[in-house]
Amino acid sequence: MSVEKVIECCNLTKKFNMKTALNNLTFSLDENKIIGLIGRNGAGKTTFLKTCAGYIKPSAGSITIWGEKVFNNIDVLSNMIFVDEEIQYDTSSRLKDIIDLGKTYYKSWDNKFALKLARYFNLDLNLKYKKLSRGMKTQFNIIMGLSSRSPLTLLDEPTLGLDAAIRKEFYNILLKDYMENPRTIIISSHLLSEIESLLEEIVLIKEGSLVLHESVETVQEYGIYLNGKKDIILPFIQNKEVLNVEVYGNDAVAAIKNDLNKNETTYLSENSIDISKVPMQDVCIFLTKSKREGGFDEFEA
Amino acid sequence: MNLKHELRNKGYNENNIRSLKSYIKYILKSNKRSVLIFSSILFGVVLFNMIIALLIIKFSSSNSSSTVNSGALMSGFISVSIMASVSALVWTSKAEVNKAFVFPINRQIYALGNFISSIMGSFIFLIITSLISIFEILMGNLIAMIFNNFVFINEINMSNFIPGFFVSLSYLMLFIAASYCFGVYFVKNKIIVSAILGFVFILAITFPWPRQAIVEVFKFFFYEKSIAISCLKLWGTAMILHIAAFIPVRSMEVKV
Repeated sequence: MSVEKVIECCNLTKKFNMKTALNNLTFSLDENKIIGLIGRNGAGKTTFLKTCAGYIKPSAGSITIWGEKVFNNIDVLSNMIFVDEEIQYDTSSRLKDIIDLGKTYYKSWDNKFALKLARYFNLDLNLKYKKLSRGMKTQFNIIMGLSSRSPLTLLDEPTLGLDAAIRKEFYNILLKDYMENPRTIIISSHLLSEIESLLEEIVLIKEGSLVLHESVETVQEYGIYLNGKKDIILPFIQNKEVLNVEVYGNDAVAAIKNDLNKNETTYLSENSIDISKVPMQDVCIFLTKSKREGGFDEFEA
Repeated sequence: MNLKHELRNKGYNENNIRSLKSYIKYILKSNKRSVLIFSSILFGVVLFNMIIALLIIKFSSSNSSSTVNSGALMSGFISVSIMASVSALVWTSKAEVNKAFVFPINRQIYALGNFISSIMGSFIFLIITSLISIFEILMGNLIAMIFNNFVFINEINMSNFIPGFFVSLSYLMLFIAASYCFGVYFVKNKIIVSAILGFVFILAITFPWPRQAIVEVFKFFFYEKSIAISCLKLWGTAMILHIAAFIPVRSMEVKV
């Protein structure tokens, strides 16, 4: 069975006055996957999601969802939900009224699931939205996002303000719900290590440009750490794609792209160099690190 | 059927209708509080007038009388005009637009929904005003039956109530459309709109013709004797203002 493309971007560019938020993004995302949108602060994650949600218009290039232009397209918008921390429901409305609105707006809305989640998170539906704490608001936004059962669900930093236990519960609920009701879910998050187990693909962006778009398995195998004597490591990595190097006295730790051949592996083992996988979070950090070399210690204002 | 193919098969407008209905429901629900406040105030004013009249009868000499005019309709209309104009202005603020776009709507539905809900909202407010006016008439007549020196003057009858209702509705539509249109352009570009207003103000105090033009505009809307032509002018202008407001809304970016 052929896999349908949900989102297709072609040279997608968004500029705000002089600032380029998205820069010639070209990639496509398949349906029914959980995709992580990763990048540092200001990388363009939220701008990309807002463009997907039809809130903002591309300055150049195009974005299509299910083969349709997004901006002002109610047929596309009716099949997606965008949940972010800035979400502003009518503050004077009670939670039950907002849920009731969700039921009228979304044709796939699962009211039973919404009420079950509200009970699970101990949210009193008679409370007004403005009376909720930040964490409770986040929980409620998550309820709205999941209960809409939208074929495209966009979650921008969905767990901001939640404690670790509730974050974990949310990811469990999300995964279970996704298994029962497969759909395309895009999650942007800083806490990659927390969502790593959920994701099938990763889209990594830096300063509005695409750095990589790969399966999680590929990113997990992307890099290796070499740990040992710097006299061995530094000459060795000269012809390698280096992700990061840190020197501690006579020792060094280098992260390089995982493309060692058998001879190189043998050479490193013979010279007592430890080889280990670079965790996915570190790969993303190294691939999106700023141009400033060294750390804060070497930084001169 | 696959969603992609379903979207390509655009023979239906189910999503448009669902979204429009939901948006109108959202606006009306979020104005529930305004309706309650308005009803309470108007009801309070009517009761206050009656109580004052009764107190005058009680504490004054036996042959003096107290007169009350049926004023709920006029008070209600003035209050609704002010409230509706302010609400229409508030709709256009960034915060309110962001709230509206939390749910799936597009700019066309936003504009059409605002137009339809302004009619429905005005209608609801006028119905409430009319009901309170009926209460005022019943209460006035009842008190007049009990106290001989209480005079209740009621100039409302069915032959002037129905045309009055539709003229009031038309004026409300104009006030709302004017506020809404102004709000949309002001939010879009505060500097240019403020500069234009400032320029018009300076012209008006410098030359007589802008003042004359304003008077002519006023006459155009408020001095029309024919009810039908008056309604036509008011609705026509309201529609033009809504269409004018749609121009910046059509490409408006949200949550920027």
